[in-house]
Amino acid sequence: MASRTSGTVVVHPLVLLNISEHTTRTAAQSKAGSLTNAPLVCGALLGRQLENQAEVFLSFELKFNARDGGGPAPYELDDSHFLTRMDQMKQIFPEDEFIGWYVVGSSIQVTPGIAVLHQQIMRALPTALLLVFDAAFETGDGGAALPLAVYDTLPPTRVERVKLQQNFGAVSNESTAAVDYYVESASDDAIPLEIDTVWASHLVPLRISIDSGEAERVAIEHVAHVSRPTTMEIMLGEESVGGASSMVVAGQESEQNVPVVLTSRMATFLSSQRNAVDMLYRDITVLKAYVGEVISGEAPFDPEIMQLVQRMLCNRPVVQNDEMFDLAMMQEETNFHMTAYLANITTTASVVRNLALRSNAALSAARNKHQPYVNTNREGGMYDGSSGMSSMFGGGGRHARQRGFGHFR
Amino acid sequence: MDASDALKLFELDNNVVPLSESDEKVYCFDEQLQRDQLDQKPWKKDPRYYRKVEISSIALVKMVMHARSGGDIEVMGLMLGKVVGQTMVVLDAFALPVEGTETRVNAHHESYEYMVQYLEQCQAAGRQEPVIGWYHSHPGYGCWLSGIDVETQTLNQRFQEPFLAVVIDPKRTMSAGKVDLGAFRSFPEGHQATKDQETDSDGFQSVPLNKIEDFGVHADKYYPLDVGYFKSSLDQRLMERLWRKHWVATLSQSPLITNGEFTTHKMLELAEKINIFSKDTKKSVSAGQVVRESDAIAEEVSQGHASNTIKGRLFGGA
Repeated sequence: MASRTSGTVVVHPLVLLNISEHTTRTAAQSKAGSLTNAPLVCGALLGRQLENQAEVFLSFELKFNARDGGGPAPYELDDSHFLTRMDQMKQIFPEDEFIGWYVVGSSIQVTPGIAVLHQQIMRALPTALLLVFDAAFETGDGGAALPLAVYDTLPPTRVERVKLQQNFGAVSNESTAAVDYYVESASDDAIPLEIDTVWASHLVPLRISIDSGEAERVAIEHVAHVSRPTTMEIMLGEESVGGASSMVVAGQESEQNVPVVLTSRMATFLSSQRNAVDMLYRDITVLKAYVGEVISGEAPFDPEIMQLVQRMLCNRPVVQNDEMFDLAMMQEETNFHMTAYLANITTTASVVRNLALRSNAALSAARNKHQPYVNTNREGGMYDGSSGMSSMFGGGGRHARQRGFGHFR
Repeated sequence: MDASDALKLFELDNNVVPLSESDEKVYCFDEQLQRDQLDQKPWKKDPRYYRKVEISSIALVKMVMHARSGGDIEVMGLMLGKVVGQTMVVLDAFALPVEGTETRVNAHHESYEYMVQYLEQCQAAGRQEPVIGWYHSHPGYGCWLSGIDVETQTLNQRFQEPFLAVVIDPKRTMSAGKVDLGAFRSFPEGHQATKDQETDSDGFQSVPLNKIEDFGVHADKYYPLDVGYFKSSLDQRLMERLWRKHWVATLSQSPLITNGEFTTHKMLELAEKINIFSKDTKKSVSAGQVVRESDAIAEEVSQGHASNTIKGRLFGGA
C-alpha cells in the first residue's frame, strides 16, 4: 500500500553493475583470505534528487573502520576517505551529489545492523536513500523482480519505542510493504519527550524504475548478450574456441555469440526486438486478465490502475490517420530501399570486377602455359554466355591439374 | 535483539553470493602471483607476448559511457587490472579530468595528481589492482592508433610494462548498436613486423579519408589484440532480472533518429572513396573495403527500418 503513494527512484544499470562487482570482489577476496577491510559491502550513491523523484547515476565504495570496543556499532564510516572521494567524483561529474548509500546483504530487509550504520549516514545527509541489495536473489515474485529495495528517509517524528524494536523481528521476504522501519535519530535532549517515545525517521520503500542513457543501454546490452561468464580459459589465457560450450544461454535469448559476422548481427537485433515485444505482450495479457476479472467481479476494483489503463488506451491511435505521419513513414521506407539498392549495386559491381580480373588472370596464365590447347580464336568470346566461360575454365583447370600432378609424382 | 546477532545478519555471508570458482580467481587480486608473472618480463623476449584482452562488464560500461559523454571531443582515462599468462584482464576503468586533443603527448601530466589520489582511495577501499593501461576515444573515425597515440604508447611500454592501449569509437558504437572497441600494443622501437605476422593493412577498420594517411604510416608499429568480454555469475543473474525492466528501452530506441546524421556522413565518405578508387591507380582504397562499408551502412539502415516497421505495425496499425 505504502509504495503506491510514495515517490519513485530511477536507478541506472551501471549502479547495479558496480554493486555486483563490489560484492563479487569482496566475496572473492574474503574467500581467498586477502580482505584488507571489513567484510561489509557498502558504498555511496550519487545522483540527483528532485521533489518527488530521485535518480541514481553512480556509486563508489565506502570504507568502514572497525571501531574499538565492539558494542552496538563496531564499524564506523571513514569520513576523510569519503570526503576525498566525493571531491574526486565532483571533478568528473559535477552535477551529481551524494544522495544515499547502498549495502549488500542476504535479503532486502533492513536489519538492525544496517539501521545503525544508517544513523551514521544520516548525520551527513538527513534524507539519505538506503538501497538494500539482496545478493542471494531471494526476493519474491518467483525470481523475476530485481533483488533490491530502496528506502527513503522521512523527517523524524515521535515514534513509540516499541515500534522501533518490534519490526526487526520479522524476516520474511514477501512482506516488505507491511513492515515499517524506523531509524532512531541522534538524540536531541533539548526537546523533552514522553517516556517510551523517541525521535525516529520512517524508512519508506520507494518504487524502483530503471532507466539508461543511450550509451549505457548499448553497453548494458553488450554485457548481457555478448559477455561470456568467467571461465577457466581466461585464467589460462588460452584462445577460447567460439565459447559456445562455456556459454550460458540466458533465459529465452538464444543469440549466437559469433563476433563481427555481419549476417548474424541482423538476427541478433531482430531477436532482441522480438524478445522486447514478447515482454510487452505478456504485460498486456496480464492487464487484460485483470480487467476481465474486475468485470466478472473476482478482483477488487482499483481506480488507480484503471485510470492508467485507460490513459494508455487513449494514447494509442494518435498516429493512425495522420497524413503527415504516413508521408514520413513512406519517405523513410523509400530511403531504406534506396540505400539497400545502392549497396546491392556496389556489391554487384565489385563481384563483376573480381570476376573480370580473375578470368583475365586465368586466361593469360593458361594461354602462356598451354599454347596448343587454347583456342585463340575465341578471345572475344570470353563473356559470350556461361558455356563458353566455363569450358575455358574447365579446360584450363583440367590441364593445369594434370601438369601439376605430373610434376609432383 | 542481541547486537552481535544483528551484525551476523549484516555481514556478508559468502555462501550466499553466487560465486563460481573462476570468479574468485579473476576478481581476487593476488599480489604475489602477479609479481611472479611480471618478474619474468616475458614481453622483452616476445613483443607479441600478450595476445588477448578480457574486459569486465563495469570497465566496458564505464568506458563506453565516458566516451559517449565527450561527444565530438576525444576523452581519455585509465584502466585497472592484471595479467594472466598471455591475457591481459581489465577489471575497472576510470575517467581522467582532462580534455584530450590529438596534439598532446603528455596529457598525463595534468592528471597525475588526480590519478595518484584516485589510486590511493581505491587501495584504501579494497581494490588492489594496479593500472594496466589507458583508453581514449576516437569519435567517428574508428579504432586504431594515431601517430601521437603510438608515441604515447611506446613511451608507456618502455616504463610501465605491462601496458595496454584501448580505443573506443562512441559514434560507431551508437550507430551499429554494438560496441566498437579495439585494443593495441605497440612494438618496441626498431622492431620490424615480419611479413607473415602482419595483419591485413585495412584489417577490420574503415578509416575516413582525412585520417587515412595517419593510419597508414603508423599501422605497422603496433598490433591488435583479441578482445573478449566477461561478466561474473552475479552479473549474469542481475542481467537476467534487469532485462524484465529494461526491455522498454530496447523497444523504444530509434536508431534512425539517433544516427541519421552519422549515416549520411558515412555515405558521403563512401562516395568519395569510390571516386578515388576508380580514378586512382595506386589503389590506396581497396575494393573489399568499399564493399564492406557499403554493406555495413545498408545493414544499419535496414535495422533501423525494421524496428520502425515493427513499431508501426504494433502501435499504429488498423
